[in-house]
Order: sequence, then C-alpha cells, then structure tokens
Amino acid sequence: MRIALVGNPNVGKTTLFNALTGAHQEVANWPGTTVEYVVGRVRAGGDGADVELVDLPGTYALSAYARDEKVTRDFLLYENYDGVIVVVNAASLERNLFLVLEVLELTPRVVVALNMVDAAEANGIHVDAEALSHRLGVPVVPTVAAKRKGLQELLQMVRRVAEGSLVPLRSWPVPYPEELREMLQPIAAEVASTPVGQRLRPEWVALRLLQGDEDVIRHAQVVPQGRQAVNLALSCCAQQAGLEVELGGQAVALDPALHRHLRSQQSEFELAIADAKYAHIAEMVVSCVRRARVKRTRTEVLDQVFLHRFWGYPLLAVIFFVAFWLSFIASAPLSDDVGNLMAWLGRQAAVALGHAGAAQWLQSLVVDGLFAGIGAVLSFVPYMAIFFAIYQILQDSGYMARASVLVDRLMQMMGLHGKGFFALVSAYGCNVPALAATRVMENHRDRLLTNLVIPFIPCNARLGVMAVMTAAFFPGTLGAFVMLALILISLGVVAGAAMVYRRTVLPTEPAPLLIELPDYHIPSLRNVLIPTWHRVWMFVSRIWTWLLWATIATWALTYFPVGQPVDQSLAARLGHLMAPVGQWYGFDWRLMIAILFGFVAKETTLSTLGVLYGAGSDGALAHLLTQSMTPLVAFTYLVVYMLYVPCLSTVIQMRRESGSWAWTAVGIGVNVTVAFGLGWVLERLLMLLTGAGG
Amino acid sequence: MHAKCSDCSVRAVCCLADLQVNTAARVASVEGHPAFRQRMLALGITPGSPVTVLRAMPLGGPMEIEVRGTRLAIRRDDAAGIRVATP
Ligand SMILES: Nc1nc2c(ncn2[C@@H]2O[C@H](COP(=O)(O)OP(=O)(O)OP(=O)(O)O)[C@@H](O)[C@H]2O)c(=O)[nH]1
Ligand SMILES: [Mg+2]
Repeated sequence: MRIALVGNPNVGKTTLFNALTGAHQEVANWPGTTVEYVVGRVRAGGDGADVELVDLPGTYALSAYARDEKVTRDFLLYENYDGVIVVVNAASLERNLFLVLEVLELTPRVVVALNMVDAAEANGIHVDAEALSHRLGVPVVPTVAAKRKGLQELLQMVRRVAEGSLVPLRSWPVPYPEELREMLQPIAAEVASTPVGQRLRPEWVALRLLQGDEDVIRHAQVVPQGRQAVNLALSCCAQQAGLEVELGGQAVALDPALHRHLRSQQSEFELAIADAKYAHIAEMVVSCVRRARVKRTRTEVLDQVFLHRFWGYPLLAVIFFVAFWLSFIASAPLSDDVGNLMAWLGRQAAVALGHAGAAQWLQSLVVDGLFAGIGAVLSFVPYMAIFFAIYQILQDSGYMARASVLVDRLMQMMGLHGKGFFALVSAYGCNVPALAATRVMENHRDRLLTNLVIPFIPCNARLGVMAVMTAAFFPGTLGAFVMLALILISLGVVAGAAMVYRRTVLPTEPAPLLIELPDYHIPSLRNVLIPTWHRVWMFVSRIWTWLLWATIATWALTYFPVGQPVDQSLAARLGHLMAPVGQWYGFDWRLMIAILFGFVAKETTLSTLGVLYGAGSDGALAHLLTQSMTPLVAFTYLVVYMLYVPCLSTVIQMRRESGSWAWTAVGIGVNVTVAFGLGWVLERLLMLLTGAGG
Repeated sequence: MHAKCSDCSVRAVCCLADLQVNTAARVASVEGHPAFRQRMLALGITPGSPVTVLRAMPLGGPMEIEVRGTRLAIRRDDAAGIRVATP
C-alpha cells in the first residue's frame, strides 16, 4: 500500500520518513529542504503488507504556486495512494490545521501525525490529541519523529485507515456558512457523477470550482457533466456578483470585463472559504490546546541577539567568516596530509611496479596518472567534509533562516529573491544541489535568475584549487587576503550579473518573500553527519565516473607521442591552438589546457596541471607553478578560473532546472564572457598599478 | 510611511509595513496579486486575525510578524499590501 506524507514546510516529514524507512534523505531546520518526492519502503513486521511511503515537499495549502509545492498537490490529485499522513507541528497547530482541513476535503483516508510534541511542551503548549481526533474525525497520533517516538502507533493507524477497516466520517470537514453550502452542494452533486468526481472528492472539486482553480476547471471540463458543473459554479459567481448574463464557458472566456468581475467574485469566495476554515480551526484550538505561558522561550532570547537591529549584522559576518576560515584555511594541513599519503602510496606503487618489471608506460600511467590524479581529488575531501558539516550545523540549528532575513535587503537590491540566499550559500559547497534548491521559489523568473548567477559562485572544488594556488603564490597572511579578494570579486559579479539580468531580460518584481522562522535547536549529530557523508561520498564516487577517465586522458595526451618531451605531446599541440587567447593574459598553453579540462570536473585542475608540469605525485607542483608565472598572472588566472564555466554536471543540472537549452547556453556564454572579460581588465589594471608595463 | 500606503488617511486603518513594533492590531484586508492573497490566506492572514510586529530590520529590511501562533519574516513591500486596524 502507498502512503503519502504531507505537511507544512519544516514540520519533520523527512525525519519521519527516514525514521520509518531507514533512508537517509536530507533533513534540515529550514522550510523547503525537500523539493522532489521520494519513495521509500517500510518492511512489515510479520503481519500485513509492506508500506510504501512517499515523502513530499512541504506546502501550506493545496492551491500551490511554487514548483515544489505543486509536486505535492499534483501527487495528491493525480497519483494513486491508499492513505495520507498529514504531519503537523504541535507548536503551531493553528496554522498547520489549515492544510489538514484542505487534505481532509480531498480524501478522508487521513491520519494526523501530531509531531514535535516535545518542542511544543517546552514552549508550554499542550495539545489534547484525543479531543483533536474527535473534532477532526480522523486518528491523531502524537509523535516525536526526531526521537522515534510514536512511530509504530502511527504506522498501525495508517495501515488500518488505508485498508479501510477504520472508516473516517463526515463529508464536509468544515462547517461552511449556510449561503456557501447552498452553492457548494448542487455543484458537488453535479461533479459526483463525473469521472473527476469519482477520482477526487466531489466536495473538494466543488470548492475549487467556486474559487476558480484553473487546473481543476480544465480537468472538469473534459466531460459534459463536468462542464455543467463548471457552468453552475460560474453562474453562482455571476449571481453573487449581480450579473444577469446567460453563462456558458465560451462567453466567459470571451468577455474580459465580465471575466474580471467573476475573478473578483471568485476571490471573494476564496476569502469566505479560508475564513470559514480558520474560524473552525480557532474553535478547535480553543477546545484542544492548552497554553501555559512561559516567560520567554529560548528562541525569543536567541533572536534578541541574532536578529538584533544592529549587532545581528556584524555577528553574521563573523559567523560566515569563521565558517569559511575553518573550511578553507584551517583544513589545509589535513588536505596536505591526504595529498602526501597518496604521493607516498604512489612511490610505493612505483617501486613495486619496478620490481615486477612492468613496462615504462604502465609505470608512468599508475604513478603520474592515477595516483597523482586521485590524490589531487582526495585532498579535497577535508575541505568538503568541514564545509558541509558547518553548513549543516548552521542550517539545522535554525540560524540560516535568520541569516536570510538579515541579508534580504541586500538580496532585494540585487533583484534576487530572498529565498535564493540559501541556494547561493550552498553553491559554495557544490553548484549542482544549489541549482535544485531554487525550486522553493514561486516565480519562474526568480528561479531562472538565481540559476543563472549560481555558477559564478566558486564551489568547493574551485575554492580548493584556488586555496592551493593562492598558498603557493601568496604565502602567509597575504594568502588569506587574496582568497578574500577573490570571494569578494565573485560576490560582486553575482550582484552585478543579477542586477543586469533583472533590468534587461528578466524584469519582474521578485515574488513575495515569506520565511517561517523555525525554533532554534541544537543540531542533531545525525542531521549533520548524514548529509555531510552523503555529499562527500557523491564527490568521491565521481572519481570513478569522470575523474579516472579524465586523468587517464590527460596522461595519455601528454605521454603520446611516446618518447617526446611534454611540450611536443598531443596536449601541447592542443594547447598551442588556444595559445593566442592565453597570450592576452600571459597564460601559457598548460594553463589553457587545465581550463579546458576543468570543464569535465573542476577538481581535475590540480592533477592536470601536475601532469602537464611534470610534477609527479610528490607535491612539487606548487614550486613549479611559481617558477613559471608571476603572482599577477596567477591572480588573473584564478579570477578567470573561478568564474569561467561551471563543470559538466552543473550544465546538465542547469538544463534540468531551467528546462531550456537556450537559457543554459546564455548562462554559459555569459560565464565565459565575464570570466575572460574581467580577467583581461584585471590584468591590464594590475599591470598599470604595478608599473610592470606590457 | 511606506510609499505604497500614502493613501492611508484614516488613522486607525494602516498598512502592516507602518505598524509599530509590539502594537496589537487586526488584519483589515489583504491586497495584491491573487497568488499573494492566496498565500496570505493559507498562512492565516485573514481579515480579523490578530497580528503583531515583533521586529523590523533597519533600512527597510524585512519585518518579523506573529500571526496565529507562527512567526514569519515578510518583506516591507509585501507587508504594505496588508491593511491592519489598530484598536
Ligand atoms: N524537537 C523536534 N524536532 C524535530 C522533530 N521532528 C523533526 N524535527 C526537526 O525539525 C527539522 C525539520 O525536519 P525535516 O524532516 O527536514 O522537515 P520537513 O517537513 O521534511 O521539511 P521540508 O522538506 O522543508 O518541507 C529538523 O531540524 C528536525 O531535526 C520532533 O519530533 N521534535
Ligand atoms: Mg523534507
């Protein structure tokens, strides 16, 4: 049997899902963590059928606009399932019950999971589950998903509801006022005889028709009786609006003035319906919720500090600075250790191969190709692990939601949507999930805009390469400032690009920003470690899919023709083709090749450079690099490298998110242009400033 | 006063964007794009519901409001579409 998990954002659906299925889906204290639906299996313990659980993105209502919310609505409307678990947050029951009522109107096979009862009790809120169950007419099971409490009861209950052995009641979960009922009932009766009415609950369809839900109208109109119901709903609107026109679907579509009139009437209905729901909820809350007023909750106290009108901002800067420092500077020794370990292994392998009498080319492949390449990639793991762990802590504690409130004004100036902040920060980890994270935005243009600027943000792999090169060229504290300068340049480019896009091709007001501020809590080890492990593993497993082949290809391009020095190799010939471009910047052919190959995956850059400079696997690359170019050229190279083009995976993801190759091409084109354009300007400027001359 | 509420003549009815911090008020009406209205309704910002501004960030930044037991951050420009009545 198939059970859908729905609920408001951030109520613990995924936590519940993971606890029941043993899956490791990402959980965070941030509304909008899940953006796609995920299916998992709960093994039945001896009796009964297996339960298939579907984790859906959070939503406030079933009239959803954002793409992730539409996933939930479409699932509930058009997919098959045997029951629904509506997860509610006991601490803000009033708002959560709205969705419960919406779902109840759609299907009676509902069990309510009254989640986060622990947090609610801590805030002095006690919910009487029994009483609530009586009022709603469906089972209500108290749970603490994070501590695996109440899960078995929930599962049992939902089994019984889905099997039909426990039959919930009443056809109208909300006692609508008489005048609304008089209109709804005939429409529902009409709908009941149509295929739509047999699939979906007629009451719900009637409500939606009266509110002018376009999607439902379209579906209803496919059959004659359905059209009749639609017309009935329209004539109700017309009567209310004081119109005396003979209504047919056609006539309404034709006359814009009439249409406007009807639209306004439909929003009146919408208001009346929402009002009736909330009135009903208020009444339920009075009888089911007891509130002991605590002086000040922990969240209120912390917000006094973190959201302080003045101190909130420096605090934000410090927190993010520390996060970056820990990830990219403090982790450097760890990363060196990994690199050294691989180099040592490489040397051992060389010795072993030498003893075994392996061919020269095989030795070269293993030592210069494989160990050097894989070593370079694995040395990114410490960066990634620390970055993602910190990121996850910031998010699961609830701070990230506050940070997005603090920076919202800035985002607004750039024309970016406030919810994009989260995507932008996560882009520093990896651009690919960041692109997917934009799905929480309602407005297509807001999403597209954010998608177009995300690739300007250097991901972990790029930052890692930058950190290594910076350390080589700008030793000591100077290096930290250079890194800071690079990150500021990328931020400037993001802001500039967003403003330009907003003013030119994507001119809309960003959709309204509404961020629910979740309660702070101490991040759970599980919520930090599992996603971190997940990301690191994804990265490491790319070694097999891309990197191994890229490394071997690079090695082959430099090794052949056999016996020639590197600057006579195939790679060199390819590189010389690009040399004219490189000349402008003072990049030699090797740097150009590294840029080109970086497209496959940015983390190959170091190993590519290693192979091209003949550095082997013993960490001589830094030295060789400083020999072959000036710090100025290196800085320009870093800027170009940071901005020029996202990797292949990012391009594929961008295509997926934007749904268009044209926009993807625009994104890439702008990336390349800006990177090389800015690089050129910088190079000239730096030349002038240092007086080095042409 | 927020630019969008310049027509706010009656003292008792004003837009949420101009409401003082920690003043009790009730929602009078919600104006704006249908999607915006719908979202507000779903969140319980319906006419008659009590609303308080908990804090307002400086330089026209977002404001934090409490409505029906939930705290939400909302942009000042969006809050201008919500009319409130102070007792
Ligand atoms: N105190 C407490 N916290 C919980 C409970 N269940 C989940 N949480 C926390 O609530 C936060 C949100 O959990 P998620 O499972 O990501 O919520 P979700 O409903 O899937 O959220 P979206 O995917 O954004 O819609 C996480 O920080 C969880 O650790 C609970 O029963 N009690
Ligand atoms: Mg989730």
